[in-house]
Amino acid sequence: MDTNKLEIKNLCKSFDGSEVLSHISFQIASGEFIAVMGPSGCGKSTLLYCASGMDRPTSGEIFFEGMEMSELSNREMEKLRLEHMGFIFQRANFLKSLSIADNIVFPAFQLGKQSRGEIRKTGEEMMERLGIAHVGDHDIRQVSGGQLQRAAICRAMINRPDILFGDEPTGALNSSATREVLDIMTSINRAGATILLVTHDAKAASRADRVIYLEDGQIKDILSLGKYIEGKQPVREQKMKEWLDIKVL
Amino acid sequence: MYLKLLKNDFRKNPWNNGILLLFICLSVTIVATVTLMLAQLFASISSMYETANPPHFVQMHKGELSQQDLDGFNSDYEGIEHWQTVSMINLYGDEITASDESGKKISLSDCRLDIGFVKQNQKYDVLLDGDRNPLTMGPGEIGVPVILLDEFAIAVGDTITLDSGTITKDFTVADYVYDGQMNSTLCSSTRFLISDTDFEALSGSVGETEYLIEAWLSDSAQGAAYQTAYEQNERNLPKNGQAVTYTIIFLLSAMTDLLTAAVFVLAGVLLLIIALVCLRYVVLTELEEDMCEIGTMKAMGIPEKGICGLYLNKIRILTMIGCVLGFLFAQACVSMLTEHMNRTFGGQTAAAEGLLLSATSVVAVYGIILAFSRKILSRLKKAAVTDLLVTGEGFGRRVKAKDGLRKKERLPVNLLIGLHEVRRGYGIIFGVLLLISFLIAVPFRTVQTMEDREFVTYMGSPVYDLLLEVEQGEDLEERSQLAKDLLLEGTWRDEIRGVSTLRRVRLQAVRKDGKMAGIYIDTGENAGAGLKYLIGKNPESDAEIALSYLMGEELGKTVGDTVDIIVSGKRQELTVCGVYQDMTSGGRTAKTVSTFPEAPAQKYSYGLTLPGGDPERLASVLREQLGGGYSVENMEEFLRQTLGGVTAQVRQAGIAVLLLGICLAALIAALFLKLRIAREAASLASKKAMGIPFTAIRKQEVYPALIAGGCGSACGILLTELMGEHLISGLSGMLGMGIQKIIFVPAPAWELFAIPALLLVVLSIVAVSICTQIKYMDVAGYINE
Repeated sequence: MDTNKLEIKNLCKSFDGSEVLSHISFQIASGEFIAVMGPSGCGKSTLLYCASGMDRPTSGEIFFEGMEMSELSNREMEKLRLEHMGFIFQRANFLKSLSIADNIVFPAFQLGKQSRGEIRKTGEEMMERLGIAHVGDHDIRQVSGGQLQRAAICRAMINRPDILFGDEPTGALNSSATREVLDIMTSINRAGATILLVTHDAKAASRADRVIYLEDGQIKDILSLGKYIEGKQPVREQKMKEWLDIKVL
Repeated sequence: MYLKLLKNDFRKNPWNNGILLLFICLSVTIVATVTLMLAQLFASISSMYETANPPHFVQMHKGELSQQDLDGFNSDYEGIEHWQTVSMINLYGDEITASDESGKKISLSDCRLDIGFVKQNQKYDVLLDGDRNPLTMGPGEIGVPVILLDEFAIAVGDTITLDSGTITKDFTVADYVYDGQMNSTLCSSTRFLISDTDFEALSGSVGETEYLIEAWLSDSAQGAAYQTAYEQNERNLPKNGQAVTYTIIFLLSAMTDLLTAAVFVLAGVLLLIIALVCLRYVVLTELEEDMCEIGTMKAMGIPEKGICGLYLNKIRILTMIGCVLGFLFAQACVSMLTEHMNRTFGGQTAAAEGLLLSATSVVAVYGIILAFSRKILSRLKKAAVTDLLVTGEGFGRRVKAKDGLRKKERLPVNLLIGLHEVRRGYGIIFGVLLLISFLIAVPFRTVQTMEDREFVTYMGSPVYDLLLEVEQGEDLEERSQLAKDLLLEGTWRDEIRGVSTLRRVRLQAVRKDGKMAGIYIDTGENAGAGLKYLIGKNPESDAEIALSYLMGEELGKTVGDTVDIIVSGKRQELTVCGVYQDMTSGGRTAKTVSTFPEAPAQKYSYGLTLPGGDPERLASVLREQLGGGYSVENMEEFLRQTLGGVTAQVRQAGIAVLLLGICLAALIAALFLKLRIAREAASLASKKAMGIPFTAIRKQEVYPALIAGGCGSACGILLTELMGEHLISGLSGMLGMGIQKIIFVPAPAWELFAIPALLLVVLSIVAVSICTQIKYMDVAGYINE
């Protein structure tokens, strides 16, 4: 991890004069998996939206691969997100008029860097890998929440992004679907993707290399867990629990 | 409380409620305006007729007459109230010139109507001023028929010069004449009013005297029966001229305004449908938005009636406001539509009955909207609590996603998304654009058809280049022969490819029930040839006769039946070979090859075909050579002068509908897209989050609107071409104009595209500007909403 994928320096964000994020600074190295935790209203999602360029900070700097994002125009920002970033939200927000598979390939079609045949092939491979190939031609209302979120991961990964942003991607899922989604994210990270995950769920956060704890818009603490190793999960979860207990107290 | 709720709702959804209110208001305005206009039309005519007292039957006659015979017949006729014979000095247009203060002269030689100078009558058939008071002219003064003002700019104070060759006399225009009897360009004559002294001085010295033999009956509807008795009477009563009944006088008077009203009735109905479609869309969108709240209320046990009431009361208040505003606007709008009416029948303010009728129509609209809203809200009953709270199944129809985007290789991705999205809720754009295109196209296609020279076939005549009519009067046969000789021997004979001669006679025909009916029969070798027949064909032998539609209806005869025609007291049996359309002569005419030489001619007409010739040039040469007593018109000019007023009015209504349609299309598109963006905010924000460029997202929103709008508009044009003529035919049939089937003239290709193109441009401007708000959307705020 010799280069920073994302670097946040002194980030502040206010809404109507009320400060939501205050002097946030941290870096995400290439291939790193970072989770952001904290109580409701602490500014987790705002941090993610600012870090991904969806929202403009009130002050501070955000560098993506060394490039200051505030200097980019809206059009350049859109291009950056489409080409280099992937997003998974709590709700998939798919286009209702398209099937699952069509929703997945849609960003790649929009980017237009590959031929449609290649995009189709990539999409099919990803669906196969994530176990949703059989529902590709289904309507989004015909599949389960877990399948939908796996499809959202496929959509987020279709353009082979450098960094994946997740905003409570397991927030609306049951425990088995949550585990499936986390396993997928872990394997994606292992394959080299950088991940910034915002979550309430300690189990989800325990998959990350580092966990940032936000409170009242400020970083209260950072926990280093190291790379996820299968079989060591109970230990990581215990460590998380103890760390969080201290935070809550 | 409900007002407070509505106020809050207005703050929350100003667009939805504002546009909905506008539509309700517009449809009420149109419905109330048309009702008011129709009420005012009938009130105007009735009020005018009250003072003008037009006859229930008029027989025009040129030549000698025996007043004694007329008195004898009328004294014996049961149900007659009054009769009188009025003299009219018939003059030719080229004998009359109008000049203003600057000396600018206008000749009335181009006036297609027969011009008559008359003096005022006492109580019956009175000529009025604009305030509906009987007009009085002093010596040297003249009243000009108000219906001539469309064609000739004659102002009060101008000078009218009568120059008959032997006598020259100047009159000062003192006022305009509102004529209860001859107040339409669809009539054949028009009357100028002069003083009794001037009339006596001119009578016998200039022009030709024509008599108007007029009768008033205790029941005005008995005009036709009186006409039959008059024509059959053994005294051989004078009938050298047209005969008209009260029904036809009324219909000709009201036709222009009735056609205008018809266009607006159509607009009002379609607008109401559009308002209902929008209401449905807005209500369903609100129900979708409030799904969880509705589910919670249902779960809490609040009765459906109570939940329904929340929405219904809002609609009730909104509709009520729309109705009141619409009704008030209607009072202002009606003056625009009654301009022609006021010009023809004199000024008329809204009567209490009219206001009441208009208010009733508004209440009816209110009832329709409320009933429709109840129907939409009945979905609340059907929706289960679990569906609303757990599965999120809404109230609208679910459209299954269409698979296959990824399999398309060539089409641009934004267009592909547009093609997929168009299936989701864009029906409203499709439907509204279809209706608006239909609404705009029908009046224009009608005007286009009426202005086409082929329209003359609906007036019982084939298409000629030039029509020469020898007008009724003394020496008809000699004058006719003179015209014929001139046509055949003049230097222009090589220009003329064909001359079709028709001799019109007035005879009696036996109806199915055995009673007699008067019938105008055009006879001649080519009679009936070149007409378009509803059924059957033109007469080819002496034993065949073709009837106009209304004549066939009156006689109760159709193709294959035999008709007995009474000629010199003897019955002559003819077989009906065809039925054609004719709106002239009260729509009751016939055509036959048989010449009936025993019957005196009423009129001669010569239809000329001039391939490559200049009809207008020949017309002016013939006019000059023939002098007065003839009418020579090229076909276009004939149609322009006869139907010009009607087509101008329908065109004006069409333009109003076009402007209204454009505004409607823009408003509905704006409403729909605003609501759609609000409903799809999360999905749009998600696209923005993924980095899909704003321009691409905008295209993905604009394309489906254009696809739906374009298809809707194209279908509207197609519907106009398929159904428009049936609609207009039905309407003209209902009006009893003698036209049962109108076929639109082929539309030029550019015209078929012009309306959809215009609407698509409007739609594009609206869609692009509304979708620009996506650019400023707060992505973070919507993503997890």
